[in-house]
Amino acid sequence: MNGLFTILDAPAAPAIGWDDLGGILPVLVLLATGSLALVLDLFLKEEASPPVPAGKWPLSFVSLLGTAVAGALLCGHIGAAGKPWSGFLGAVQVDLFSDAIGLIVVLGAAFCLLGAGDALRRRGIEQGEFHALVLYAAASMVLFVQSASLVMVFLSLEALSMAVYILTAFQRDEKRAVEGGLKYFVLGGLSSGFLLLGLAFIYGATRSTNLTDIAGALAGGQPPADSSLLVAGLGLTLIGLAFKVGAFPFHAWVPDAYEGAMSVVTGFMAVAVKAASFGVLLRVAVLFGGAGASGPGSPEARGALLAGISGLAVVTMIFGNLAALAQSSAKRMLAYSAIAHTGYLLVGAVSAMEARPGGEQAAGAGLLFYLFPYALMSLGAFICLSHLGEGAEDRESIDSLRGLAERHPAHALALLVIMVSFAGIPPTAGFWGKLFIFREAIATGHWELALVGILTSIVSVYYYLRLVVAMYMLPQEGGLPAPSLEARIGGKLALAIAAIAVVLVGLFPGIFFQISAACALR
Amino acid sequence: MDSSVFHICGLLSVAAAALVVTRRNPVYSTIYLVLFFTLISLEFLILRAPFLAIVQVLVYAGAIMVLFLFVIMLLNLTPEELREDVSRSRKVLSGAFAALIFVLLAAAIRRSDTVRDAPNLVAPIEDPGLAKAGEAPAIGTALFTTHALAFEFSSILILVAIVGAIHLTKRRGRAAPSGQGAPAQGTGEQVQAAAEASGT
Repeated sequence: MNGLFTILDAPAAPAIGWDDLGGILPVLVLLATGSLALVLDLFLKEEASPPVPAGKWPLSFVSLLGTAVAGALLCGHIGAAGKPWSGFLGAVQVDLFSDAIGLIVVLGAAFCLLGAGDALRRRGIEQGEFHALVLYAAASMVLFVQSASLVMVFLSLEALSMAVYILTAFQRDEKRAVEGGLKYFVLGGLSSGFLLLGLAFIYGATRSTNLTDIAGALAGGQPPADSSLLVAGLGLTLIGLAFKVGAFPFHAWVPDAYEGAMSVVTGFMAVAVKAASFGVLLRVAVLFGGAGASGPGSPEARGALLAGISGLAVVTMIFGNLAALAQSSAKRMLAYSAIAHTGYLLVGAVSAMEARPGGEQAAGAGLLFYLFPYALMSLGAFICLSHLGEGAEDRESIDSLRGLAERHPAHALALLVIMVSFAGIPPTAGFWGKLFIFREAIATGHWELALVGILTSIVSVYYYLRLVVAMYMLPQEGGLPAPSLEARIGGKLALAIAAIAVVLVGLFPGIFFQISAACALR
Repeated sequence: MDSSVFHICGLLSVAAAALVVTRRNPVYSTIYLVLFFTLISLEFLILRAPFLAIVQVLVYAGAIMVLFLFVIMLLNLTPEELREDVSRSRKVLSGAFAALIFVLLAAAIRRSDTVRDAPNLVAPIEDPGLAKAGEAPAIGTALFTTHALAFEFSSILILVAIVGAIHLTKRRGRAAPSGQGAPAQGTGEQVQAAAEASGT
């Protein structure tokens, strides 16, 4: 009976000190900047009419500075290739994997903030709350991936979801935004319920909330982990996380929330929420179902997880790509394509479960590599839609992009690069991402997943190129007037960085793959 | 004796929960929810978690339920507004899904070794640490050591919720920027005005 509930076996001399705070410094920087943005807004004057082009630039400046500092700290940690560090009496674990995912999250936040100044100003809602919520969400996401305790997993997931629900409905005068936010909130609440019940079952099966202790219990602790409760708990947890990443039967919120939110927020959701959720999904999958040195404590759990994630991957790839074919709105099309990419990432999660330590590839290198170009492409595409918008509208329908190549050739070119990369045509970054993921899947014996992935990728070329055809080959038809883009520096900058980075990663995939492999789970 | 009380409370709480989701009138649902929380707190008491039992009654059955009732009365929905247009097939489908999850979880619990070898509810607990595990001092210690970060981070969660609630509900104190600005401005104001009219 001893040690039955380790949650209560508090150590005699608790030691939480400055070291612990230093370990999660990027999170603290993001939180502090968010609070600063809230307070700073009080001291900034309301813009006079007509809107000043610069608007409340100190808000954007301060929050971008915060993301830059947090990103630099994470980069420094990756560069130093530090050993995994565990703090707050085992509540968080910082390793290269969490740093890498954190970096993608911070990248998403920075791009969102770059494009947000203009998007908010056009709608007359440039308020510090937006910047604060983006930064709080980013902090929660970084902490989510660093969580080493089931309690922290749930709390940080709730904090990040809450912030994103509100960001979705941030344009609260717009009916679609409120509708999307509400749908996301209700379905997200349901999925949190599943996740919480799942975590409770895992606690019951392994008698600990700490992931390190759980790993010990799985590796043959006494008494052994209860595989029946474990399978039930993992099933529920998988459902909860599948909601968050938007995998097929749990995708119902994705199109509405993605369409209702401002495009900059949609980009942030598509990148940061997905990266953070996949980080935790991968951790859970490798911990409970990996073929690691410690060996799965419960073969049943491993079998259930493998079957569950592979099944989700197949149906998500097929559904996302087929549903995207029928869309006439570019934003909705990208929402369904985000579902399709969730499917490809799930294939990466499956092969990560097969990776053995000491083998050629660490677990999840392919998934990590895929996330980086995917982040750049999604951010670039959604920021471009926002950037070309006018008033409270973003440029959303595919028809409204007709003739873009004549009016804004640079924007059309950037979007072309991003679409080609999305479709996975060489030599862009998207091609290498898919190649590495499918190669890993074949190497670990899941060729059927790779086959479905390749076939659905071919289908996806059609809908991505539809956008390109509209931009370059179809004449303009009335539609929205050409916006004057002179004053919109942030969005322009973000789009340029995204497009150039996609090309660079496409030209030099080796370096980025090595970094991904170094940062993968051990 | 404890054991039979435990089982009776469990069955009653399932019945109460079913009544919560099937009642038409939200006030009735809330009252059944109070009953449900009270029964669950009794379960906690039998499972030797006295702190959890008290908190359950104080926070959920007390504070949160009052808040729920307050909101329901504030909205003052008429039966016509509450009529849900959910098709019959959809109701059957969701009922079947709920039943499926129930069966799966029940099967998992039934097969579980932990549950089969569970100690007798009536027998005294030998381990002195475990005997006091459900009491306030043990929970306080855990909260400020092992779970200190989670405890502190929950304040961020609440801060996010507060910021969001204020943003989504506050009345705009100023005129919309540039009176004849974007065309969408007008519809936005109409939506807001309609929301305010229906709210009061």
